[in-house]
Amino acid sequence: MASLGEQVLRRKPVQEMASETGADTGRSELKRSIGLWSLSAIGIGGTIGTGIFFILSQAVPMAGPAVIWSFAIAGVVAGLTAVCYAELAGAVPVAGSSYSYTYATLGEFTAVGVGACLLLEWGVAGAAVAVGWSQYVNQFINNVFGFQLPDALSNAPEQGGVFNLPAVVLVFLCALLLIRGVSESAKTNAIMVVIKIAVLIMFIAIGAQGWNSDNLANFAPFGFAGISAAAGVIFFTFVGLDSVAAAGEEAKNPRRNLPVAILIALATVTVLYVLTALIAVAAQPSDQFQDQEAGLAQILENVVGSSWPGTILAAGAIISIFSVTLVSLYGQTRILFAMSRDGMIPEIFHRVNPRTLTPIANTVIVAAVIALMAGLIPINFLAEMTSIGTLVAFIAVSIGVIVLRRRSPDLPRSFRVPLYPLTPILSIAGALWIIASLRLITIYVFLIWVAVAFLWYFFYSRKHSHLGRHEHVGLAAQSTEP
Amino acid sequence: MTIVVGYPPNRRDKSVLSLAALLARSSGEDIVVSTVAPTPWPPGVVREDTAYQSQIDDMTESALAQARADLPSDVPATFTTVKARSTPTGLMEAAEQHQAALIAVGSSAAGLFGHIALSSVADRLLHSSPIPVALAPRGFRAADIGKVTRITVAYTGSEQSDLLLRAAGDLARRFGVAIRLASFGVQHAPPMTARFRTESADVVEEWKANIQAAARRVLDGDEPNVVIGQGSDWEMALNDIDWDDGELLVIGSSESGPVARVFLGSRAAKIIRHTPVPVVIVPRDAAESYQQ
Repeated sequence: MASLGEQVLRRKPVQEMASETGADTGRSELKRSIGLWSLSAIGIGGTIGTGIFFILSQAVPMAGPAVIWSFAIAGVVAGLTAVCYAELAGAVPVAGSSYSYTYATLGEFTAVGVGACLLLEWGVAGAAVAVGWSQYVNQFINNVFGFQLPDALSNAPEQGGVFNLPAVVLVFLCALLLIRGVSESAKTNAIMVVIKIAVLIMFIAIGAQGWNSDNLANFAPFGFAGISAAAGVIFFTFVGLDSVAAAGEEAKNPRRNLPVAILIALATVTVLYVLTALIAVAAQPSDQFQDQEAGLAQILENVVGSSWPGTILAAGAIISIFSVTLVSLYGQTRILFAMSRDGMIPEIFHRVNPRTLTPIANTVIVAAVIALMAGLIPINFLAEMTSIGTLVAFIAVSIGVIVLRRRSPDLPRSFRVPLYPLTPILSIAGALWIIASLRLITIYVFLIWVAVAFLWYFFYSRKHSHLGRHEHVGLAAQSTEP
Repeated sequence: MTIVVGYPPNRRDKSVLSLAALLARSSGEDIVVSTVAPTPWPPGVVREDTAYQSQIDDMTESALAQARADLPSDVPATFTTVKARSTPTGLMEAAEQHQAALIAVGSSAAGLFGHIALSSVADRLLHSSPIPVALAPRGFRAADIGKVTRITVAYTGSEQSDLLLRAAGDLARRFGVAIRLASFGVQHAPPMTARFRTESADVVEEWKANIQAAARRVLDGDEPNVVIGQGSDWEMALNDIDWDDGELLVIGSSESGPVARVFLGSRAAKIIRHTPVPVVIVPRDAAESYQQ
């Protein structure tokens, strides 16, 4: 058996990854077919529409109207990291998540840690989004049918409820679709993006009529600390910007298009967010945001004095958040799938049902856990956990860029980070800064979570790692089956 | 023209390959063996599914490798993976893409050996395919160099059947084999006191003559062989006539279903369930297009 040091640091050879995904055999070689605008659209679509619909009621009480600066800060950090992500995606010839990149650059131990962070980025995000969905569903039902679900069935215990039923139902509906083998097509994705943007623009246009400068008077009641704390929560709404980098392998002329697309997406999203936040804080005194459910819809109703704009906004949110939950759940099951194929977690996670060709056991387990979280944990905690998980995964990616530059400087890279080494260092610093401003409880829970992941590594993954067993990684499962 | 073969990614299915090879050999067509895999998600939306996608690719590749090994080597064939939302949709897309004349699928793994059991995929195809669908009985094997030896058409003498008969006649010409008309009479045995039984032989003769006359009209004077299977249930009626080794049963889709598609009628469903030979179901629309 290899020594502990070797085990912890063993990296999945880039060669092996390439053959595993068929990059060299040409089987799954991806065509470079995505142009600049589609690439930007992917970034915009991947980012907008989860957090913005419900994050303000958490962020505004922290920062006051200065929350618009929090959006800008979170956006810049997300942008820096997306650039680093783009380099790694181009250098490691395998499409995949930060887990695969980390496995190739920083070793097995860190990869498990990043995997644990990704569980937060996707799984917990799925729960957070489902909770936000339930708020809008409630609002919608109230506007259209005139009754509301009782608090006991639509809130987490900490917020005076018993169980958040709509969120749980949503998670299980998505799981059902995934088990049946649904796939989001490029077309539905595009429609969702249009709905999200249209809804936000509607909010901005109508909400602008409720502009009241007095609401902005006490601009930053909690100073800079408040702004960065809010940025920590808000960061969650910028997750997904890195999807541009992930699609980089299929991008035409990635050297030019990747950074430009990231910039375009970042600018569009940030402008939309800042405008939305500005209108929101100008239309409603900041002390009213606390614990407001389905915030944007309520602001509109107060501005117009009737319920129809809120109803439309709620309907838009319900539709688009549904697709986001579906994507989160899908992403989560597939991360576990990849980790299971490498032997990091039990085999049950990469068992594919032969009829539907979907990992049913995996999906059921993931859905059950996410549903429990969505039903029992309040949204602000979920959002913070998602943010910290994503931030740490991003830090690992930025470190990976530096490590890979040092270790194999000659590796062909389709895209290089501009201003190296400033960009990755800034990205790491920015992420650390935002993490430092999060609530202590979040950081503690996160540390415990990562510690659990590392314990898991030492007691399970270390011995089961396919790399450690000198099996052909990833294909091991196939060779044992008839 | 081409035959699209739906090959399952999860289990070996020699019977459908055997049937496809038999048909291709007889008509000189080529085969496209297709395995359907789920459509991948658009790039960028989720990037975490690489490992999953590559496992799906491995599965379909190995299924196709299996098919390649099992398919008799004397027929020209290509092997493809189709990405689609569902298996029947994928097969119909493949058929359209290759301008196929026929889709061939196997029986459900839950069926009886030697009989056809509609799988969920076959069922969907039978309700929506615009081109004929061939079904292989479970465990069907043709001799290695076997060809279709005769085509039997399930014939009722209605106008709808005339179209079907023309389509089958066309198929027989392409295969270079004779055509035979089969009609099935299912009647419960009447009580001994009824006088009907003594006349039933006459009824059958009359019926046979009618069918022969109708067939002469449709097939331009050829004198087709007519058989009538009788029994107190469908199984008996189908066993009542003899079946060759390379026999193919052609039936039409229901007369009351949607115009352009295969739609299985209740009698056809019973015939399919009890026939010992492969069945080709011809949609009404396809039958009509032969006429023009």
